[in-house]
Amino acid sequence: MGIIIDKNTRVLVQGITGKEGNRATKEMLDYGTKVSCGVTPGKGGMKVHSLKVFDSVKEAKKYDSLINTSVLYVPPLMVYDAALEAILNGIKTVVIITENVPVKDTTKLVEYAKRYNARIIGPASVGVLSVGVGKLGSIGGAEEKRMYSKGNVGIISKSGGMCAETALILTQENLGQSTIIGIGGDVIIGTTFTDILELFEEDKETEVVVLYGETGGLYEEQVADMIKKKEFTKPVIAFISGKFMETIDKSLSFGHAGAIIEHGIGKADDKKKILKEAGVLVADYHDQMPELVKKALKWNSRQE
Amino acid sequence: MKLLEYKGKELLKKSGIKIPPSIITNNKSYINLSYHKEKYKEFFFDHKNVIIKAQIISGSRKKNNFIVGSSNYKESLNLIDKLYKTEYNNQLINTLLIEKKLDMKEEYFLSIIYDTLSRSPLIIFSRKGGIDVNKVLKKKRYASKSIRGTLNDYEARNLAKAAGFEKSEMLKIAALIKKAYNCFEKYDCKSLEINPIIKTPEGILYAGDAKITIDDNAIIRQDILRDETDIEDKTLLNERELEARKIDYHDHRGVAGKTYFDLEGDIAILASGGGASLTCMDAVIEAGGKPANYTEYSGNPSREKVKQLTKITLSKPNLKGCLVIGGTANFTDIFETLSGFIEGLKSINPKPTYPIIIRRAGPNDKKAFDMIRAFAKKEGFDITLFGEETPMAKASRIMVEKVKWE
Repeated sequence: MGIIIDKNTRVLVQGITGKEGNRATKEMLDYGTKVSCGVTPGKGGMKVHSLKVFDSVKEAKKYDSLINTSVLYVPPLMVYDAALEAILNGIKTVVIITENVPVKDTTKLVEYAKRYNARIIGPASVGVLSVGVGKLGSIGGAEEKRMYSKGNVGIISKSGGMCAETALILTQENLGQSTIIGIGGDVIIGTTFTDILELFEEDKETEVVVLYGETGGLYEEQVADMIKKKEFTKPVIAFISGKFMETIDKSLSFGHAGAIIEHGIGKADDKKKILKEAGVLVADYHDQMPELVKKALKWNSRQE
Repeated sequence: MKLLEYKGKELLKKSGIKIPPSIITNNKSYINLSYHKEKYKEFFFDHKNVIIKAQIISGSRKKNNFIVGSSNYKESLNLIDKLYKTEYNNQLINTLLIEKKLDMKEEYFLSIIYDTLSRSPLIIFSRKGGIDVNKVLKKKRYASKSIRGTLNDYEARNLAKAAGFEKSEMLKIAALIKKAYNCFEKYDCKSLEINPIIKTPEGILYAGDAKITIDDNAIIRQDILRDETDIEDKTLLNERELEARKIDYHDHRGVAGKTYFDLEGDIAILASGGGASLTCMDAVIEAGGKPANYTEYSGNPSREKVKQLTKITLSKPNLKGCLVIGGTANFTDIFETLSGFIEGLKSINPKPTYPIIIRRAGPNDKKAFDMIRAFAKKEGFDITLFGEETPMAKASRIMVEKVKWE
């Protein structure tokens, strides 16, 4: 039935009157997502694609108490306030599409989400798409079918654009997908690879998971840990990009602690090695992934 | 944005941390105005022992003689003149920070960064600061604390104690940690490092250096930092890189040029999308090719912006190939952006004869490809076109093969 988004998902769009919010709302509706209404402070009473617009999340919830998900298309410096408003009004899934959110703001939101048992996806998420079920955000644009097809592969990606490319090369090899999630590539993100893997572990439609990771941080290393502890038991295929970033020295003089604690670990090659040791199939080139998925699926059926 | 030392110290000072007595001189004013020489003379004879620090963004200033000291006035003048004649990154040094040389009893180290494991700020403090702090960090000889929400006074004291301080010293260090954290929080720092923290024989603590990076996404709400962008650019970027950044300053539709930088290779790259650009750069390198640059444009930039970026990217001498690459665009108009590329390409002199590969898909891609096919045929360019049937990584490998056979 899809993770993050299912038949019970009812969506609020914060920033619905902006250009991006407006376009995404139409695309979500066209894909069959239940978008209930929108919020833009100061524009209450307007309508966007026949949906009501409210001044506040509180008013939106009063209009439709079943709203459980919010998708944010607000300017970067307003994300903190908008996401907080959603969380404190009882919304449990908050997808932040906005890029360039200050890391301080994200960090505070992550704390709030923990306290109020809410899930933040992003910032800088391209969205979430469950093939044939619905989508949250801009993922797939108006032509989802060009790359996304129904199947058993789950995709988690730090890059929004590479959600599409990854699904595309899988679809070309007749490997359909279950749910695709853009988690965003910021230093601090609301939902990490391992958070999503927990959901995929329980998801009957997902047999194998493909990760698109990037150099930096430790989110990929956490995946290796999780697999080693057998908290995730389905096959995982990974591609880690950004190796070249490490080969250039623009003498950017990272502070020492940053250099050692952040950049000394978290290198693409280290990530690959750690993931391989945990049994993940790691692609050197991005377009090797379909082959590895097939290998993993065969391996899976042999086990049964 | 990385702040120069004196700018970082200004923020520390505003946050209540002591910095050594100092003056800042600017190249032009120092040379042209006797007033500044007088001011320096006064400063020198007040303190009699100075450290002269070139204000550049570099990790190893001391090793490379960008930080020098003297207790002789005449000698110090010569050192200043010499530094002002020194180039760093092809540019003359512009600013010197001249400080009183403090008596040093001990050196400590403090760093605050965002930790991706705990997803919160992390404070690191070590009694063993100074030049060899790398070893201290690798051997984990420091105390650290993740911050949830705010840093309470008692937590700062506990951290000071864990770092090995007792009694009144513990209180002093805790107060410093608190001030540094307030600075980190207030000014939207992504990282803040003080190494060394100097303890004088009198027991007073000073920030001996400051390495502060401000979150680029927050600069707009930091009034005191908004005008600083220039400083970073001048000390870090070469001419082409500066030119590329100007593209975005003047036109805010989409992004082009903000991320441009030169590399040592011979394959020019114009990539679309952050993840896609990384994936393709890696694929080119993995296949044995050498990118001439990194750049990325996205968010439906105007034709003019792509044209400017193309001109800058292809102005590099000795290119052997050009790869224009991106995934399936959601809403970037492929005809518009590729028209910009072709216009830029037309303006390059001498006319490029090297192979050009374009891998692109999305709105108006067919129209774009028809236009390019006709153009290449008429003008005699070696352009290969790929759509979404050819994976990006494969197109990158084909580029490298073509360059190898040239």
